[in-house]
This record gives sequence, C-alpha cells and structure tokens, in this order.
Amino acid sequence: MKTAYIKENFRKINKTKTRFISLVLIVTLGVLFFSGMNTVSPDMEKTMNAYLKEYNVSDIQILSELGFTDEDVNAIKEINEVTNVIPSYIYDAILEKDGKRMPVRTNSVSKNQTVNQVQILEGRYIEKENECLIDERLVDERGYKIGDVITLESGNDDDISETLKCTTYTIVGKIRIPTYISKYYGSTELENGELLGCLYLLDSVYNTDIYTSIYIKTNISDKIPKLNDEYQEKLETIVDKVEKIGETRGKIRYENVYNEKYEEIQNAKNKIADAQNKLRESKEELKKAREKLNELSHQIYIGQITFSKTEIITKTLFEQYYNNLLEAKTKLDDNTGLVTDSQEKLDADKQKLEVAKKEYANNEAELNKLNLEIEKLLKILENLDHNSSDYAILNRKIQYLEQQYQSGLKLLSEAKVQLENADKEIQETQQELNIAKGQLEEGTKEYIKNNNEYQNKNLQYQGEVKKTKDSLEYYQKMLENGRKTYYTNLKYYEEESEKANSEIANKEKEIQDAENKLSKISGEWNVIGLYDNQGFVAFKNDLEKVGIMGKVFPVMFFVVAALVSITTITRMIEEDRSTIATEKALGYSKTSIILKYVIYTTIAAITGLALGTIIGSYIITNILYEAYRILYSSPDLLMEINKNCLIIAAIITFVSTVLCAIIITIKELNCKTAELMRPKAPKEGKEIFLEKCNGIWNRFSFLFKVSIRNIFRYKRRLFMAVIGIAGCTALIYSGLSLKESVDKIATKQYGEIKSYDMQINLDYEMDYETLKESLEKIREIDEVESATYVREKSTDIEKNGISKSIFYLVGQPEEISDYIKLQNRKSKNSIELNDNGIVISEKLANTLKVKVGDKVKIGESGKQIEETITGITENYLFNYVYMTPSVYENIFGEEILYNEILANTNKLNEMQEKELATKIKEDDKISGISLVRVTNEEYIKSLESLMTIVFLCIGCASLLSFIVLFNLNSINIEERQRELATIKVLGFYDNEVSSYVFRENVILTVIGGLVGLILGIFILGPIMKSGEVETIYLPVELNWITFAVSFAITMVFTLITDKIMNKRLKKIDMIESLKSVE
Amino acid sequence: MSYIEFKNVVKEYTVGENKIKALDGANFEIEKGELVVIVGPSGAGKTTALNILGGMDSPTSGEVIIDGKHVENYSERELTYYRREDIGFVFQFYNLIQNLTAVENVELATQICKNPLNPKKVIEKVGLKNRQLNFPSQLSGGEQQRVAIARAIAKNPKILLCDEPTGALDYNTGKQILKLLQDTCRKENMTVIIITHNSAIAPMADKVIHFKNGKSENIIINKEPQSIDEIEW
Ligand SMILES: Nc1ncnc2c1ncn2[C@@H]1O[C@H](COP(=O)(O)OP(=O)(O)OP(=O)(O)O)[C@@H](O)[C@H]1O
Ligand SMILES: [Mg+2]
Repeated sequence: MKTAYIKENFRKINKTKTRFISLVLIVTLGVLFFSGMNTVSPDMEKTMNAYLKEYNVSDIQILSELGFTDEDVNAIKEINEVTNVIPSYIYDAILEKDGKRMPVRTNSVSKNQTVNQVQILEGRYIEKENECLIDERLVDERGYKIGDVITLESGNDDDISETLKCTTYTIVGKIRIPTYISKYYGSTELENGELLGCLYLLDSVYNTDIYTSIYIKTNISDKIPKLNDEYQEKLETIVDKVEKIGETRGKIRYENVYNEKYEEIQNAKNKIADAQNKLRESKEELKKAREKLNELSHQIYIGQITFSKTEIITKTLFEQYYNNLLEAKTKLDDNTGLVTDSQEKLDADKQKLEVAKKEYANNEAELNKLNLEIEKLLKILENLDHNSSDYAILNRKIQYLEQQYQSGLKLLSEAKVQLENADKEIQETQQELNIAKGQLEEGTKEYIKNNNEYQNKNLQYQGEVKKTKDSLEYYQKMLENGRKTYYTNLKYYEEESEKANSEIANKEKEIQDAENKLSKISGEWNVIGLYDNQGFVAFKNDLEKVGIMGKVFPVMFFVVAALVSITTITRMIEEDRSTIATEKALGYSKTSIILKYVIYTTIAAITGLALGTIIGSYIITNILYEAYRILYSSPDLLMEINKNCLIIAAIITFVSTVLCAIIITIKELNCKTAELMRPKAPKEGKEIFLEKCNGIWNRFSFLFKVSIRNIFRYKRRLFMAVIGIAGCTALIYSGLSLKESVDKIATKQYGEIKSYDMQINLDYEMDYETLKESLEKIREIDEVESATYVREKSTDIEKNGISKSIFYLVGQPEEISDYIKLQNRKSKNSIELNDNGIVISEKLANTLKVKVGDKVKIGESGKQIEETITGITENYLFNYVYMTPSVYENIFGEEILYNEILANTNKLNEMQEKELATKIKEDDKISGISLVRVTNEEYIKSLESLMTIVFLCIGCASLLSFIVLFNLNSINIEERQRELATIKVLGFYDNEVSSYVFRENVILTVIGGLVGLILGIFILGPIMKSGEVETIYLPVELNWITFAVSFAITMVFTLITDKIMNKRLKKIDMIESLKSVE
Repeated sequence: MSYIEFKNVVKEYTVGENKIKALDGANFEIEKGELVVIVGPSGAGKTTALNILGGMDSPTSGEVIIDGKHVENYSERELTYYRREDIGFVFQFYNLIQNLTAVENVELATQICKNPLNPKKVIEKVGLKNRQLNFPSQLSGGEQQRVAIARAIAKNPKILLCDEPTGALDYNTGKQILKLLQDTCRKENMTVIIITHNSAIAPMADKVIHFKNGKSENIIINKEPQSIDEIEW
C-alpha cells in the first residue's frame, strides 16, 4: 500500500514534471533570495569576528605626533584591563615601480608577533632584517611577487637610513592584515597623500627608540565578539582610561621633546652664528690680503720709479763715458791713421829709398862695369899701340868712359850722400814714427783698457738692470699671482658666502619653521578604539546596510513566490478533482487522499527549501560578500546556514505549499462525490464594474472588452499577476533607481557641487599673509585655472536636541562659488554666502528639522553660538556648513586661520593632474593634495557593492517575474483549454488565439507595472534610507526613464513568456478538448 | 458533382501498438442546401467524419471534396480559414464562452468572418431576444444550445455541422432545436448535417446516412422530408 502510494506519487511528479519543477523553482527562488540576503550579514559578522580573534587583533591603537617612549608603554601597562601593550613603528616610504612612485606604509613586526598577527597568504613569515612582507593589494594590484627585491626611498629630503637600517628588502610573503581591513591605510605626507600599500618589516630594522604607535590588548578582547555593541561599550571605558594616562604622559613627552627640540633649535642658531662668524673672518682675511697686495703693488711702483730714475742717470753717465771713449777712439783712430799714413809715406819713402838704393847699386854696378870696361879697355889700350887710331878711338872712348865714370862716380857719391841722408831721414822719421806708434799703442792700450772697463761696467750695469728688472718682474708676477689668488678667493668667498648666506637663510627659515612647529606640536594621544578603526567602522556599516537590504527586498520576493506556489497547488488539486472523486468513491480514506498531496508538496517544498537554503547560504552570500570584499581586505566568508532564517523560510514555504495543499484538498473532499465527478464548472461570466460606465466601455473594441472581462473574471489570477508583476517591476525599479541615484551622487557631488579639481592641504593652519606666497605660486602655474583658500574642519551643530558632528567650510564669499556650488536642489537658484549667517546642507537641515531663517547652535560643545541659517544647499555626501570668515570669527571667537587651498585646473587628464600635484607639493607649506577625481573614483568604487545587491535584486526579480508570468500563463491556458479550443474551432488563426490570450497578459502587465510604480516608490524610500549612511544623502526622485526601463524589462518577460506559451496554444487539440466532458 | 463528396475516407488512430480505424472507407455525397442526418451506433465514426468535414481533423487517406475543393490536402492555416468562412459547428455541450453574454458569444464568432450576419438579429431569430444579455450560466441548456446555433449561423457558413445537438436536452427543447436547424436549412438554404442517436428524427432530413464500423453503410434519400413538427417520438 505504502510503496504503491509513493510510486503513485512519483508517477504523478513525473507526469506533471513542468509543474513540479516550476513549484520547486519558485520555492527555491524565494528561499534562496531570502536566506541569501539574510544570511550574508550574520556570516560577515561571524567571519570578521573570527578573523579578528584568530589574528589576535589589538583593541586599541594609540598614535601621537611625538611618538612614545618605554615609560609611556609602562604607564599603559598599569591599567588593570590591559593585558598586553605592543609598541611598534610606522614609517611611510616610497616604493617605485615602472616609474610610478607609490607611497607605502611600513609597519614593524617582531619575529614572534603575538598581537596583530598577519595572515600569510603565500610565502612565509619574515625572518631576516632584509626581508619584508607585502600586503595582498600590492601583489594583486601592483604586480609585486614573492622573491622580488624592493628598494625603499624616503620620498623627501630625509635620509632613509636614519630611520631604517636597510633600504632593500626581499619580499618573502604575501599577507592580509587584520588591522587594515578597509584597505585604507591612512594618509601620508608623501606624494599626493594617498597610501597605496603596506609593508611589514622586522622591528629591529627601525633605527629609533621612539615608538610611532602603541597597540593595546585588553581583557575583554577574547571574551566579546568585536562587532558586538557590548564590545564597543566596554572598550569605550578602557579607551577613556588610556586617554587619561595620555593626558599626563603626553604632557611629559611634549616637554621632553620641546626641550630637546628647543636645544636643537638653539644649537642650530649657534651654528648659524658660527657660520656667520666664519664668514666674517674670511672676509677680514680677504681684506688683509687685499691690503697686502696693495702694499706690494705700491712698492713695486716705487721700485719701478727708482729703477727708471737710476736707469736714466746711469744711462747718461754711461753715454758720456761711452762718448768719451768714442772720442778717444776717434782720436786714436785719427792718430793711428796719421801714423799709418806716415808709415805709409815712410814706407813709400823707404821703397823710394830702396829703389834709389837699387838705382844706386845699379849705377854703382854700371860704374863698376864701366870701370871694368875702362880697365879692360885700358888693358886693350895698353896692348894697343897708343897711336893707333884704335887706340886713339879707344882712348877717346876710354876717356869718355872715364869721364863718364868720373861723372857717374861723382854722381854716385852725390847720390850716396843723398841716400845716406835720406836713409838717415827715414831712420829719423822711423824713429819718430815708432815713438808715435808707441804712443798710439799706449793710447790704444788705454782705450782698450777703458773700453774694457766700460764694457765691464756696462755689462755689470746691464746685469744689475736685469737683476732689478727681474726682481721687479718677480714682484709684479707675485702681485699678479697675489691678485689672481685674491680674486679667486674673493670669488670663492662671494660664492661661498652667497651659498652660506642662503643656507643660513634656509636654516633660519628652518629654525623659524621648527620654532613654529615647536609652538604647534602636541604630545596629545590619539587613542583609537577598534570600533573607530576606519575599516572596522565601514565594515560594520556595510553589515547593517546589507541587513536592511535583506529585510526589504527578499520579503517582498518571498511573498510573491508563496502566492505563486499557492496558485499552482490550488490549480493542481482542482484539476485532480475527478481522480479525488474516484478515489473517494473507491473508499480511500480522506487522510490517505490528503496525504498524497501532502507528500507531493512536501517533496517539492523540501527540495526547494534545501536548494534555496544551500544556494542562498553558500552562493548568494558569497556573491554579495565578494562584492563587499572589493572594499576590504578580508578573509574568505565563513558560511553557515542561518537557523532563524531557515525556520522562517521553512514556515512560509510549508504554509504556502503543504498547508495550502491540505486546505484545498479538504475543501474538495468536502464536496459531494457526485459533484466532484463532474469537472469544476467553469467560472461564470459576470458583468464587470467598467461596463456600468458606458462611455468608456463602448469605446473598447469587442475583443478588448472580452479581454478586460476575462481579466476580472479570474480574480485570483488578476491578483496574483498584478502582485507578481508589480512586485517585480517595483524591485527592478527600485534597484535601477538606487543605481541611478548613486551614480548621480558621485557626478553631482564631485562634478557639480564640489566643482574644484584639487584640494591642497596646508602644512599647518595659517593666516592669509602666510599662505599668500604659496597661493600665488599655485595661481601662477599654467595648468591651474584658479585657486582660493578655505578653512575646512569639523565641529558640532545642535538644534531641537539633536546634535550632529559636521564639517564647516569657511570661504571667501566672492570666490567660493567657483569651487563649490551653493544652490537649491530643486530650483538650482544659487545661494549667496554672506555675513548674516550660515548655509547648511540639505540632509543636515532635514536631520535637524530646520529651515531658512531658523537659528541653530554651532561650535565646539560648551562654547556654542547661535547662528541664523541663510540658506539650505544641495549636497549629497557628508554634512556641511558654509560660512564667511567674519561669521567664523564670530562663532569661534578667534582669528581665522586657513588650512586648505582649493584649485581648479585646466582640463587635465589624470596623469597630468598627478604630475601637477607632485609639483605643487614641492612647496614646504603644502602637506598633501587630494584629487577630486580620485576621491570620486574611490567613492564610486565603494558603492560597487551596493550595485551588486541591486543587480542581484534585479536579476532575481526578473527571474521571479518570469516564473510568475510563466506559471500564471500556463495555469490560464490549462484552465481555459475548452474556451480556447472553441475559438479555434470558430476559425481563429493561431496568432488570433495568441492575442486573445495575451492581450490579457499585456493588460495585466500594464496594470501590474503601474501598481509596481506606486509600490516602487514606497519600497524605494526604505531602500534608499538603508543605502544612506549617516553622511550620504540619496534624494528620492521619481525618474520616468528608470520606470520606463523597468517596465520595459517586465514587458519583455511577458513577451518572452508569450512566445513560449504560443507553442502550448498551438498544441491545444480541438477535438480532444471539446470531446464530451471527461 | 455533389456539393460535398466523401470518398473512401480512412481515419486511423494509433493507440499504443494498435491501430484503430475510426473511419474505414466512408463514402457519401451531400448536395448544397440539404438537411442531412447521420445516425449509427456509438463508435461508428460519426463524429470523426463530421470533424473531418468541419476541418478540425484530416483524414488518413481518401478524398474530401467540398464545393469542388480538396479539403484533405489543406494546410493547417487553410483549414482554419475554411472553418472560419465555411463551417458552423454546434456541439452537444454547447461550448459557449462562459464569460460572454449570449449576444457576445455570437459576436465573438462574427468578429472574424467576412460576411457575418447581425448578431442581434440572429439572436432574435433563435428567439432569445430577451435573454441576449444573459451569461451562459444564466441560461437553460436549450437556450444555451440556441445561442450555440446562433453563434454558428451568424458566421453565415456554407455548412452547419451539429454533433448530437440535442443530446443533453429534453424532448421538447430538443425538438425546438431541431426545428431551428431545419428552419435555418430551409430558409437560408444552408447545408446542415446533424449527428444524432435518435433515428426517429430521420424523416426530417433530405438524406440519412447510416454509419457502422467506420463505413457509411446505408444512405437513404427522403424524397419528401417531414417538418420536425410533424415528427413525434
Ligand atoms: N483520438 C482518438 N484516438 C483513438 N481512437 C479514437 C479517437 N477518436 C475516436 N476514436 C475511436 O474511433 C472510433 C470512432 O469514434 P467516433 O467518436 O467517431 O464515434 P461516434 O460514432 O461519434 O460514437 P458516439 O456515438 O459514441 O459519439 C471509436 O472506436 C473511438 O474509440
Ligand atoms: Mg460521437
């Protein structure tokens, strides 16, 4: 019996496959969405709690501008609740990759870190000083990998090795950091202020004994899950205690640092004085050198003058002497000429004498000859008769010859005397000449002697002159060299002194700055409870957001699903009436008949419930979580089936399936068997209310009237379809609207309202005079269109007992409108900033319930002043109050100091803007720059998770809408098979049959869609509210385009269903359907 | 050639492994304007023949010629067109659209024809002028059948096919219906074919076709058909 029963059930399931599947699907879908959306929030909470516990995350972090000492650490240890105090170091540095300079934060860890451990995702833990751990974001987004060697730079003038022992590190592990779940590492003074990642280094790498940060572990840490409100409550009291310690310790630290710094400044001042002294000394030295040179130059001058005077005199003397010599020489030469002439004459005379002597000798010889001849002749004569003629002749001749000889002899003797005289005269002259020669020789000798003397003297003199000249030249050269050295030195001095001076000026400015800073430093402790941790807060907020989403969307969804399943089951049982009747007639007990349907629906319900819960708890939750995970660095989701959720889902499912089956079966069974045997009479026709208004009714075409009447004939279908379609349209509409609205916020807030491109943070708060220079410098940059200066800070505002922490912005009334649009959201009329009061943002006005003209209290609590609201301005992110400087001074009672410069740039792209930012940052007075573009992108990114929910909603709503339409249509066709067969017999073409049915669907869709709009507006409000965080204003604006789109989407589903249903219509067998009733 | 020719029509149904011949070579001819009554035992194939004649079904083999056209070769769409323009159907269980009033049921049929009759006049003709705004559920069986007939004739068809139109009605009401059909045939010169289990009414017809085992066994032509008023049973 029982097996037969079960068999029959399975046969039934098999027979009604599509219906069973669609029933399971509906249940699945409803449960899936419900459990998915409701489970993700607790899952996330659990995951985060477990994560924070596993890695032993500290409860409190303390930061202080001045850092901490071991004494501070010891002081904290005194607190009872504190179980562990972990001092650590934080240092921001620059990591460069592919030309991109990325500011990263380095944190210290010890080898056996117990608190704030990191999760090693890949690689291993740090072991050596030259190793580092790198956060997953740097790996995933910047492409670093394990084994890479990285180099850190300080990013400013500081020497990085002063802080870190090593500068190059090998990446040994990829980590996830429980203390930075938001992936937001804080801001830095480096580059454009945005930290892009996080490194962990061994604590011994840090060269300092001043801790940057202290982490505190308390005794509640392991007892209470950290996301609980109780945790925050308890932790708050501990935070208070730490703060109290901070007050005293902070002061001490401040004094120490102040004194130290003061000394440093003093030292620096002394150094400057030293430097200045040195400069003065070198100047003096130079002066002395100069004087010496001058003296030298003077001496050289005098020397030269003396020299030239002496030279002239000496020259004259020499010249005289030389002239004398010359004269002597001339005389000597003359005398020599005379002597020579005389000698020559003498020599000529001598020669003449010689010639005369020779002539004499010749004459003598001839005479001798003559004599001889005579003698000869005489002899001859002798021999000769003396009277011979010959003798006579010869005698005559001898006579003659004798005569001749005699005359010659006479002549000769005369000549001999003459010769002797001449000789004698020559001898005498010679003697005289020789004397003259001797005299000349003497003269010459003397001349030579004199000349030699002169030459010697001259040489000597020349030597002396040369010597003098040389020495003069030497001195000249020395002077020149001296001068050269002097000028080099002077130049050097001038250069150096300029350098030194500018250095001194710099140092002085530095000292000035240091003094300024010193006057501003505070040892104040910034005690951050974990509940104030940026990522932690964001995560908690998101949890709540998802939670609310889970309450709005899926309930709606589930209701529709339940309705659909009820309809399906009702239809199924009604169809089975004859079977039921037969069984009843055959004597089956009521319970066994009911049981059949109970089993059928239970199988469907359990299958759907199981599928839905599993998919919902393990897939949907993960999809949602992954969406949120974009924003976080968080561990994998710990997925668990949410029991409460399962119970609620199970109840709704069973009520809408099993219970529904029981009730309907009982209802059927209560009819008389005979009645049951006949098919359920088709629903009677009825006039509908519309027909009463003839005016409208008559205007419809006949077939349209038929459709309208049919729609109202099947009330359940009408109801179901409208709810289903309306629900889906509403969900799709609200999803799209939310997306629309969120998209708009980003563009509106950062495009229209905050229209400036750059927010430049000043290093400290300064008055206009101080910032003027920097401002002008920025304004002069070509890429900068305009710039203004503002003060932006937070304070409190109060009205009607509601107190809010807000941002206020003090700007110049004439300039501010170029940077921030103050305008009415609806009319877009701009609002003027004036001294009569303050302008506040819209959401703030709504929260405080104030309007223009009202007065609110503003200022730090305890010192609040009443101000009039002069305008309410459009704003979407954060609560803002705008005011003029004079209003500011009125409220805060102090002179206005500015901390920001806002700039508009000339249509730059992101790269250019970043370059510009780096350029502007070179100014010492500027500490950081945030680009509105980047802020905007970050904001949009942060909303991506919201988008996933929206898309998930739209997707599921679409699916549901599809199933609703499909089911209803399928039921509709089944119920009206006879009617449809009839019109087919009447000769309606297939398309006419389709339109006969689908005209109704279209009308239903239109009605459903319109209801959906109204519903959508109602759902939208709460969804928007849940999307809104404290600081976001999501304006609920009716958007017809969005509505049209969501309507169109539903319509498309209708059309698709129709297409599928067409096949079913075609299949309707006229003969079969019209055969006599069963 | 006759107006309607049914030649060797075979209709086979396959149920599981078995082949059932609902029509096994049926042959008959009907002239235009004739009132034909088809009788025969249950399962003889009357309804099958009528369905084929009415274009709701196609024969397995054989020829069905109506007004010279081979209906057996018609496509689905042609068959629909044929049903729409040439055929009026009256069923045993009326098959009215529950959600439409009497006159609207008639109107629905006329919506799609080329030369429909005025629905109101037709309703008047079937004697339901006073009940024309009633919904089927508010009408008696006879009245409903009259609406069904009105719906069939309002299309101004060439052939009116009635499958046991009086099957669910009492004697008098049945008679009224048959009267209506006879009148329609005579006055509008419409070809009317009536299936009935009541062979007593056979005399009212011009032609009586006897069906048996899927065959038209016996075709009797009444030279002088009687008015239904004259027939008692
Ligand atoms: N769709 C079908 N499938 C199988 N067999 C069928 C089908 N339709 C009719 N038949 C068979 O064909 C035969 C003829 O049926 P039909 O309905 O034409 O008989 P009928 O003469 O109209 O009988 P009744 O007077 O009972 O209405 C019957 O034996 C029937 O069982
Ligand atoms: Mg039959």
